[in-house]
Amino acid sequence: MSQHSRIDEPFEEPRSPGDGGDGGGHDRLEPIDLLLQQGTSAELADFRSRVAADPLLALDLADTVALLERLRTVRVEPNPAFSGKLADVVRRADRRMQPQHRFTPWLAAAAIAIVTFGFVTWVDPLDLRVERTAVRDTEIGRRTDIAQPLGDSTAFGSATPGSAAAAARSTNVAEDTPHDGGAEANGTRSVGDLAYEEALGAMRRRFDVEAATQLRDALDHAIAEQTAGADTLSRWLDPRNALAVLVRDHELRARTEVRHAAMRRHGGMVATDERVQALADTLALEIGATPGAAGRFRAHQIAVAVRAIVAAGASTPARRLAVERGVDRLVQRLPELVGARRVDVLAALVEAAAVERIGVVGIRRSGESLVAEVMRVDEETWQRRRPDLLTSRVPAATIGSAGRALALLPAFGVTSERCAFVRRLLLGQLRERRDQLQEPDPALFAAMLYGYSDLLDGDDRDDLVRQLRRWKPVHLAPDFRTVQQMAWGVRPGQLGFTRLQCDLRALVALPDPDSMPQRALLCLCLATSYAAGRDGSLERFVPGE
Amino acid sequence: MKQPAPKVPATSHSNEVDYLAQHQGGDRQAFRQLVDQYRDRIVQFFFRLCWDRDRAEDLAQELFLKLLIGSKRYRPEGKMTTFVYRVATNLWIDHYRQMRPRPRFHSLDQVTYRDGETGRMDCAGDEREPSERLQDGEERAAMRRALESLTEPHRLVFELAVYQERPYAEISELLGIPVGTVKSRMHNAVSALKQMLGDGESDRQVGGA
Repeated sequence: MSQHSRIDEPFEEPRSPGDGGDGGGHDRLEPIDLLLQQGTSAELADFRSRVAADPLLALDLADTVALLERLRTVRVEPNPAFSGKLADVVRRADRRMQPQHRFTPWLAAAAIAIVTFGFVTWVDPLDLRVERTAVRDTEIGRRTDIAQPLGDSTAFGSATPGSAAAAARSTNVAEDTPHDGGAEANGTRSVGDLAYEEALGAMRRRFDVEAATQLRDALDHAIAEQTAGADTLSRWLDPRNALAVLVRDHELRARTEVRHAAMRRHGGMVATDERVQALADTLALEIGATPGAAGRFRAHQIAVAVRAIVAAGASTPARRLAVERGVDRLVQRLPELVGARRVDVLAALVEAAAVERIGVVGIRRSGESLVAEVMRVDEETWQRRRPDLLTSRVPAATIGSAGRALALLPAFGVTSERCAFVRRLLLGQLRERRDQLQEPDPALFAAMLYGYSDLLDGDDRDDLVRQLRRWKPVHLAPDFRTVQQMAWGVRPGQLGFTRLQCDLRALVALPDPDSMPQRALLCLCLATSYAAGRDGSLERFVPGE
Repeated sequence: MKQPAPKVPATSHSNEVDYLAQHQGGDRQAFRQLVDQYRDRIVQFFFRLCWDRDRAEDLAQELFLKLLIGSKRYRPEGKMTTFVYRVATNLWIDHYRQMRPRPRFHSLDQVTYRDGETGRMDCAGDEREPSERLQDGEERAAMRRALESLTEPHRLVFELAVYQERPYAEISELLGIPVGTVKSRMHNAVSALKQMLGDGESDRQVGGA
């Protein structure tokens, strides 16, 4: 650990005369040396006698004493959480002290059993994996990702909710760890289970250290949901149903009379739809006029434009082409994005893929990466800090978008239990922010309603709507992202819905914003009546039905 | 279950307990005691170098992790304290290299003074008058300005000698420089600080008269 070579490099300095070599010229003591007791006892005694004889030197000494007294008051009180951080290090030290050399017969037997089990799983003598792999590897298998994601159908097909939850659970953290439900059935805990438990332990410790009660509650809730295996069926079905409704609504949105009927039903003005369509046409021109048009914009800007065109109805060839080109661009960029940017892009891709059936495989892969970003435990993440998405650095609106995207991702093949787990944690993060608010924050309330309405109880939801009543949408402009999440988050029949629809009408009077993303967000706000999917399918607005 | 007895002496130079050697020898409590003994000193050490409490705490945590990870390779040849400060100094130098071109960031619970100094926000439990707190803040800002005006090598020597109370010979060993250089840096630092803080004080007195 000797790293002397590092010492001098960053500290090159102009040396003062006599400041070099072996320190020649600095053998004489100075008052500071006496105060710090630096020197031999003879030197110090000699210096004391000089001080006694020389009043100027005595004054110098007094000055130095005063200086040190002043400077020694400079200190800082550590954070209360600092003790927790160090306790974490000490715990790690304790773990490293666990006896590692005692190889009892029981441990030997367990080790042999694990190795044998792993070997048999890998060799797969009964060819249990062949059929699944064969289906997945075919082109048809890939194309049917939306309809029948294999990971989930397997969990569902295992019939018992508990085993389905366990199957998903075991892959939650250690994605690369093979899991076999048989191990659990035999009472043997797999490596995946152990990794899962260790990860939960790391999360719990992190929340304890940070005294993050909301997140700790969210974690308990998420674990309880998983272990109970409750609602496995609805967790499997709901995203698929929601996706099916999205697809159907997209087809219906292309029809003017349906859009107008939906507008009228929610108290909107028909003229608003004309504005939406005009905005969508402009956006389509901006991102889809030429193959390279989307390249002028950043990924999250293209994402919001794609969402706006889809919301308005990708009913013309120009708009379809724009969505296609935009999605191509987003799919290219997606692998290099992380955190908030990935969420924004993924949210757009989920909606676009639902209606245009493009980029499905990329969504599944990226969705899994998003979930893993929150759940992965390594030396840094969870051990020393939370994942980025659970910190206050990420905008509340992005967390809201993540909630909505995660609710749909199981329909693309991402394990539903993992999505539900992460959604719980993200909601916990928003609740934590709400507890710490100095001033009410409409973006936070809107994000909670937009992304997590289904996880909130009635009172909580009503409270959020009540809080949001303080801001009229038109006054929140140009923060159209908050307006959009507010508008899409309050559902018909909920407290404050009618009043909000009335307030939303004023948005149509706003001029077109200058920037493309702002125009896209305004378009999303204005299209709420038929694009938000808050009120079941648009089928009931089809004339004659 | 009986623990293996530590194979190393419990004390080394100057009757200092060598917790790292004890930890290496299997003593379960040793690392905890090391952390308890050094935590405050180390946080203050990093704080006065970077003036950011959160970063100082992060660095302190990283230091203890480094000590833990490196404890397997630790050889109880010199003083453990010297070893701890050597790792701390190297950690600071690495950090300094990485952060030098960037602006300072401050956590939200720190007050940022006009000159960029941060201090802990004492909202609750501070019984002093606002004027006293203001005066205290100004005094603190002046001391920080003075300490920050020292070059990094002078500041490091001053920190180790004055605040951490390390002997010059040990600082010389830690920084890999001759004892004479340590002394000259120390003397230069003290005279610069006297000048700056003395001038500041006289300015205030003149201004207040």
